Amino acid sequence: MTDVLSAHFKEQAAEAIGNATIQESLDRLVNFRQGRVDAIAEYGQERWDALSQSAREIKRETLEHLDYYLDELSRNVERAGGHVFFARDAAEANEYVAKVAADNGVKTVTKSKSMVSEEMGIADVLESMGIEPVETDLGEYIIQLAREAPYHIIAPALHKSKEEVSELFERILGTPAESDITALAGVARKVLREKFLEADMGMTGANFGVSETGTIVMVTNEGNGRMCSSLPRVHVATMGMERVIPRLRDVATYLPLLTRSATGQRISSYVSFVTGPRRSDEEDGPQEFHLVILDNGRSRMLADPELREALYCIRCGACLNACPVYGKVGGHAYGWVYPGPIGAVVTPSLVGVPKAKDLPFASTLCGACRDVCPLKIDIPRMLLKLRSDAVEGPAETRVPRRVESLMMRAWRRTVAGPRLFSLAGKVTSAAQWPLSRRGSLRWLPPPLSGWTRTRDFPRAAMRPFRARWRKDEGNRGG
Amino acid sequence: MADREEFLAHIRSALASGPCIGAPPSASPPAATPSPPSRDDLLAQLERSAGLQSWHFVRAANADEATARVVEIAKGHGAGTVVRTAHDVLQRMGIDAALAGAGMESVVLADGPGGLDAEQRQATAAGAAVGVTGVDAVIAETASVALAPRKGMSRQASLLPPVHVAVAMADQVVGTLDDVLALRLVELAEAEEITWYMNLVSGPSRTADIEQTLVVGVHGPGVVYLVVIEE
Ligand code: SF4
Repeated sequence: MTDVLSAHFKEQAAEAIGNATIQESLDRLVNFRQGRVDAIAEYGQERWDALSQSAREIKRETLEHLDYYLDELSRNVERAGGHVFFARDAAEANEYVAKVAADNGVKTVTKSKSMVSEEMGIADVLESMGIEPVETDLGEYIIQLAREAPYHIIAPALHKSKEEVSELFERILGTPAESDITALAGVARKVLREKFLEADMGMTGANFGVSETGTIVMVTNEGNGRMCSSLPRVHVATMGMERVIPRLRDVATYLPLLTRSATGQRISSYVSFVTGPRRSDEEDGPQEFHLVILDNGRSRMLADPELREALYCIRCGACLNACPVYGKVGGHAYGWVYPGPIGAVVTPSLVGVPKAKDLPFASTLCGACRDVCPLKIDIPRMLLKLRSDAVEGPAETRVPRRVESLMMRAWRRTVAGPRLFSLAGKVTSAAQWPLSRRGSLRWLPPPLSGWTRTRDFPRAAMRPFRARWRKDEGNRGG
Repeated sequence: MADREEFLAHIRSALASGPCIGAPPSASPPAATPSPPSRDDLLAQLERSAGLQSWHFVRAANADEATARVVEIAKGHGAGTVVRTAHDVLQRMGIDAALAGAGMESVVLADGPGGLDAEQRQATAAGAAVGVTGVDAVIAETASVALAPRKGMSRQASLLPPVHVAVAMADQVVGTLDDVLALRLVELAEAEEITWYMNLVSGPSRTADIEQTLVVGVHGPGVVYLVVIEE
């Protein structure tokens, strides 16, 4: 499994806050935010809300009978000629993929962006076997060359400037310095095209696994997912066990929610439906198809009635874009695969609270994440639960107060910058503040009531955003 | 190594803890589906959305006009070799002869007597300037072309060349993704083989991974044409 560095939240956050290039790239999240708002307006708010509600209902139903749907999914994949492996943890999943690669004498693996494969850390495993893993999503490729973790679940290299990309290509690929973004993408296209044509195994994620037909659905924009699932002899798809949906037609419910929330696109450039390996009469396509279904801590979330809802997540990234904390501390601060509000819930849930005890505090509980979430996942509620776990748990998991004050500083800087301020205002209008809707923070669990008593921040949330900030400016220093 | 039964048993025990805390499902019925639009409405909707999705949209009155336009497009991109699928519509258009007449070679990416082997097909597709395919359906709402590879319908013709030309008949245009999926289910119910692959292609290959600046054609085709034959 990929190493968990979430215990270093403070240092990593402070570093991002002090880095001008990173702050500039985080400012660009406004594109995602605006794209989403426009895409929902075009779709129609009422229609959108209905879609959102159906998506919640389907997820709720599916997770309540997850054993049934996973059984059906796996049997249908097998009927279509594919292989299914159920992995309890990352190590088992890695072992299986390594074995498939070894059995097929694989030398090069082309990978399409997949958060689950990041979670597994499969690239390192393949590399240790002398197999070359090549990330083929442009953003993933950049961070692979830089040997970094993804910065954002939709835009992995969000934090890199074109100068940094050029320098990276120059240093590692030996290509001349280039200031034009199209030309930089062209460099990657050329290098990666060769890899696609020589790869013997392709790895992809799965946005959805349709149990009714045994179909894996992949949502991509660049075409690398199609390459990875079409050109090599072997295709291995990895999916978190919560990604199963019952019916093929459910894709029509989830797809608009995903693409419009993520990038504001009506639909992504490519949506691929993979049911087993190539057909008997097909001209091309992989001879083998493997689906790895991963638990890796998800069953713990399933078992916890308070956390189960986090398994509804379709990884659209909208909560990252809306989050004032993510928008300031960036992706690496969160220290593992999943950053932002959903990462603050998923990381401690999957790897255990002690390893990520700062993350539930990496939030102002402003509720912007829940408001933009297409599945209406109540992230603030879950963060409160995890906070109480962190505080009430064994002594070594308790959170030093410094983290909280660091979060507050990050937040203050966010609202202090006039540009960011107005952006934040766009996504979190006063009416959207759940805290103000609820009137007070009395619902905080007892261990945190001290926190609420000593902070004017949440109470202040009952006043309009701007007015509140102006007032708090004067009160600073406490 | 976890086997299926063990894995599923573990999930059952996790579920035993009780239902999820969260808003209960609403009792509201699903949104009503609007009545099917007319063919003209669908085409008008498709034309609009095709523009938004960055397709070059071409309406052709008949097969001959479509052929002329495809030849023009291929020529415009300086194609020496055009790769294509074996879709009926392309045969009917007499595309090979028309391309040959304009000095271009047309290669069908299919197995068969005198055909290319798999390696040659891949090399040819990767080297071609233009790929031409028919389609299985077109979604008006999102300007998505559905391509389901099978015998004669290579995955590569629409993927490896930098330019893709998709040729559709007007009666292949449906309203929504749900329509395409419903059709697929009907076909699957009758199919002998349940293995299938399908791509929805909704414009050029895109990325915005460097400084959120849009670049087309990063891996798949950067220039795409959608030709609809109206007859
Ligand atoms: S929690 Fe919601 S908004 Fe965040 S990534 Fe998941 S689905 Fe998207």
